[in-house]
Amino acid sequence: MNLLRIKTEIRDEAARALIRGIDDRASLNKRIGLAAKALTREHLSKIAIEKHGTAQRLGAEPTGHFKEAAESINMAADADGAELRISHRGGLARAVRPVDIAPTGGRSFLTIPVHAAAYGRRVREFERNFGARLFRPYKKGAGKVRAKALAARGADKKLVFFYALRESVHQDQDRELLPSDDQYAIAAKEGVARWIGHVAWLRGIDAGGA
Amino acid sequence: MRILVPAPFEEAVSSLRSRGIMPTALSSAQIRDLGAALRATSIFSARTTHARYVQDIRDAVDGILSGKLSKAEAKEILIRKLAEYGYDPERGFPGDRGLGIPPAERGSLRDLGSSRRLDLILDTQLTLHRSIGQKIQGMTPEALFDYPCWELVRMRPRRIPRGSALSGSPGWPERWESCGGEFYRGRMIARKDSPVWVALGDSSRWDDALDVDVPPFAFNSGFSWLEISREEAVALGATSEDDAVAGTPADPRESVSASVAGIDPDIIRAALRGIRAEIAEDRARLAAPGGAR
Repeated sequence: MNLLRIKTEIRDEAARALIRGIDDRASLNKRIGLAAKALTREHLSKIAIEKHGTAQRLGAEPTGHFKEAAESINMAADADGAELRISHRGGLARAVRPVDIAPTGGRSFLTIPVHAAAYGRRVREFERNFGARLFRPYKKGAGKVRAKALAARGADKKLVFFYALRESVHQDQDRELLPSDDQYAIAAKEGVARWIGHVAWLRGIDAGGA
Repeated sequence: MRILVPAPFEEAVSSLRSRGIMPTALSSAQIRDLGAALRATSIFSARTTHARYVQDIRDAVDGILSGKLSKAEAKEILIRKLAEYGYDPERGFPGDRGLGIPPAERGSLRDLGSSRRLDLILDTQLTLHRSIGQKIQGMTPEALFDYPCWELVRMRPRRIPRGSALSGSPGWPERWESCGGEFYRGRMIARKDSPVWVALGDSSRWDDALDVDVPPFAFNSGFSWLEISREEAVALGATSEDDAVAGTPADPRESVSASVAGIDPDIIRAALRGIRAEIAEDRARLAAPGGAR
């Protein structure tokens, strides 16, 4: 499991005095968590609309990867703190650290879609759908050397390439997939402000009154 | 605060696990006639008679919601299971012919192993249970106070969106208006207790609706929910400062004010003044990574 820690410090003396006085910080932490969750979901919803260059380049329907990520953000809070949870595999781990992807299950290669029909589909799914077996053609003019690609023959007998093959893929950390530390800190502050505002509202206290 | 990737979405998982499975030979249209109550308590898929396969679908969705499986892995598992159970698009599962299930064209939506079908069932179930999870988290007293409204927003671009000439289906803004929703600076925002959410998913209004009051509302929707803060909702006119959104427990003070019951009002007042000034003037004061809570 990947983990990102965001720490916030409350320096306002009056707010600190209030927080020191409470018995149970769960409701305060919940407000911080709610604000962080709303921030993260909004951030990912924007990425979901803007970031689908590969699908566009291939002329494929976007997979909705970031929509799923945005929908999967949830929050838990108790007296010790707030925790954002992203119940979505793939992609967002890059926000936390660089990612190296290697083939699993005894496979030698990763398959990278290079055709709209393959986009968002694994090889088994592709073959099942199109009723065609993919194969590694020999490289043109290279004797018996096979290409690092999977292809099939079209109706006109021409080769159509669907996947590139890679031994591994390295993805640099992309911290911008999640809001910045500063944005989280501001959200936390807004959460504290809302908590104080709610406490005052419930107890009928006006900010300016005596 | 910590961010965990991936980690389970417990409310969404609970929502899924509260449902039984319903193998059925019925078509989508026939299932719609069954009644919302039965559909709301079951996992099913049109013309899917194999109980173990329906259970496999539920397990796959569970695995994704729990952060254990990716959607691509789930699809691979389901394709393998279909082969294991002897499914063939033309003949269906063994025994399907006797149930009058018509043959399906390979790769079509009626082919249970096609990408279109697998994406449809997984996307619908995932968005539905995640949205139920969002709704549960969004209806606590704290969330209702801080975020009293939902906004309906597109989160997945479509090559042929609803409402376009080729779609043959009303778009979401048109549906919104027809359901009595109001636009705030062009945005589809409504209070969390607004009847518009039920109307959007009402199959007596929309052929493709799922009879749910949460996204996706209808099959293949690229729209989802965002929470709108009280400050923004008030500024837009979607709610007012003193509005309490229905769904708040009878005594909303319980969870919030029990923890501050013994605190002098002057301290609260000072904090209120301080924190408000802070937001307006200095965004960095609370923003010190590496500091202690």
